[in-house]
Amino acid sequence: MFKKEFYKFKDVYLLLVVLITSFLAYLAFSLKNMVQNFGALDTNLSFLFKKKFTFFHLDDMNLVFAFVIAVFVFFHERINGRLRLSLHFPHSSARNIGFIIMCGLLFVFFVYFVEIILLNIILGAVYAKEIMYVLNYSLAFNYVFGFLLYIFCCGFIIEPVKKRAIVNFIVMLGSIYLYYEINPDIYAFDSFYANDFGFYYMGIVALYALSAAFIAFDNYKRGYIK
Amino acid sequence: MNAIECRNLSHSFGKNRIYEKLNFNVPRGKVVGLLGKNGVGKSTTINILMGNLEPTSGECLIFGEDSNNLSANTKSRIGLLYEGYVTYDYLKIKDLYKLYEKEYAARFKKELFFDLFKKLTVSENQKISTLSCGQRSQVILGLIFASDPDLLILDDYSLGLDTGYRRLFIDYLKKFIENKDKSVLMTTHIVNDLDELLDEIIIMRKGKEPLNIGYKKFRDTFRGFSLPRNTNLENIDGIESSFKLGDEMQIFGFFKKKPINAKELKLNLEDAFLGYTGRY
Repeated sequence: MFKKEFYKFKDVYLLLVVLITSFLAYLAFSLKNMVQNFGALDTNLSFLFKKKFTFFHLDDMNLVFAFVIAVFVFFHERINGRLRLSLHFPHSSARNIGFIIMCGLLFVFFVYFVEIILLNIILGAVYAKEIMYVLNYSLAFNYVFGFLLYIFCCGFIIEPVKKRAIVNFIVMLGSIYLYYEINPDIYAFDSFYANDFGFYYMGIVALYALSAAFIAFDNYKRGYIK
Repeated sequence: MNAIECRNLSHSFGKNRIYEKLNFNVPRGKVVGLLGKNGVGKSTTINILMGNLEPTSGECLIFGEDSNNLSANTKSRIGLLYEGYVTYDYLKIKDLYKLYEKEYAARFKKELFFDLFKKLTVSENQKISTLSCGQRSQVILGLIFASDPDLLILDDYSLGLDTGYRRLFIDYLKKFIENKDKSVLMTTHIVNDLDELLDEIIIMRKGKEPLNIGYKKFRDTFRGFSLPRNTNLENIDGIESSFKLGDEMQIFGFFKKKPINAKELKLNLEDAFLGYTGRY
């Protein structure tokens, strides 16, 4: 079953992991250059007073990663109505559906997990604990939204009712806008605490995304139309 | 007890009514052919049976369970073939085999799969998407047979298959059901393949009551006659369809007696099927 899921996005997964690794390496080298040129203290101070820090779009890459993996996961089920086969495996429908969703999500989670550990090693060697908290907070928010984008894809790819699929897609676009309003790159923050309520907003988005995904599978099961 | 029971099944797609109050059973150990022209609702019925479509009204029971809410145990007893040999094309043959072997572990009979598979001159490492339609069908049917289902639902198994692969499939199916403990519901457009295989037959027609009849009875009682072209048909009872061909007219139906001046036609299953449903 794992193989069945992994093979849906194997090639693109490896490509995206290489891309994310490249982004990470670029970030690490930039930081190293900064420390060599200005020293660790100045690097910390420039973060505090000038907000001179960027993830160099690594956070955007994380979102693209989750989105693309989800598209591959759910489109492969949609093509030729393969989902009908997946739902017929001798388990409860909830388990069959849960496996399709969670398997891809687990692969996304694995990359995020390795990434945050590496980032903490790279950035933690330079930045003070308080700054690391801000960075980790921003990344955690980024990862949560990545998971949500993944779930959103289910809501418009699996959903057989066109109108609902379009609405889900529009809500997803609105959520992306909301995300970038709450959690822009560090240098664009109004303050370091601008995203204090971010998780609450994302909680509402999560509720919508999960409901849309659940309804999409339910609608599919009730009314598969070629 | 019946493997499948459909009661008062009606379905519409929007304003387009597919059928109304369809009733049929698939008794255990029997092979039932669900036949009809394109668009009469055969695949729709199969999708309803597999819980992928909720009927507008009525219900379908499979081994006594609502088809929309089958338990894991009942699912494991059903072998399903969707029209067009739908499968996970992006997998290699060996990966698809392992998937089925694991999912149907309690019932899986690998020798049944390899018996069919060894007839193909392909490697286990080949992707399903690179196989021809016939090869792909053998892999999928091999896996379905190997999962040893009590009920086989085959939606247009003959789609895209050449004569050789169709014959091979029929031979394996005959072997599979020889102990009379397996039930089969199948649809196809190559109806002659089903001769000697079917126990019962359901023929669906647009806007009309489906015919649900024992196969032998259908073959014995459904007849065709050739008549002079200008024959008045009003006095002949039981006509299901008729058409004119050159100087003659052919009529088909359940006739109680042979019409006057009529010459009986020798009908194979396809002729009888077309005679019942009518030609285009």
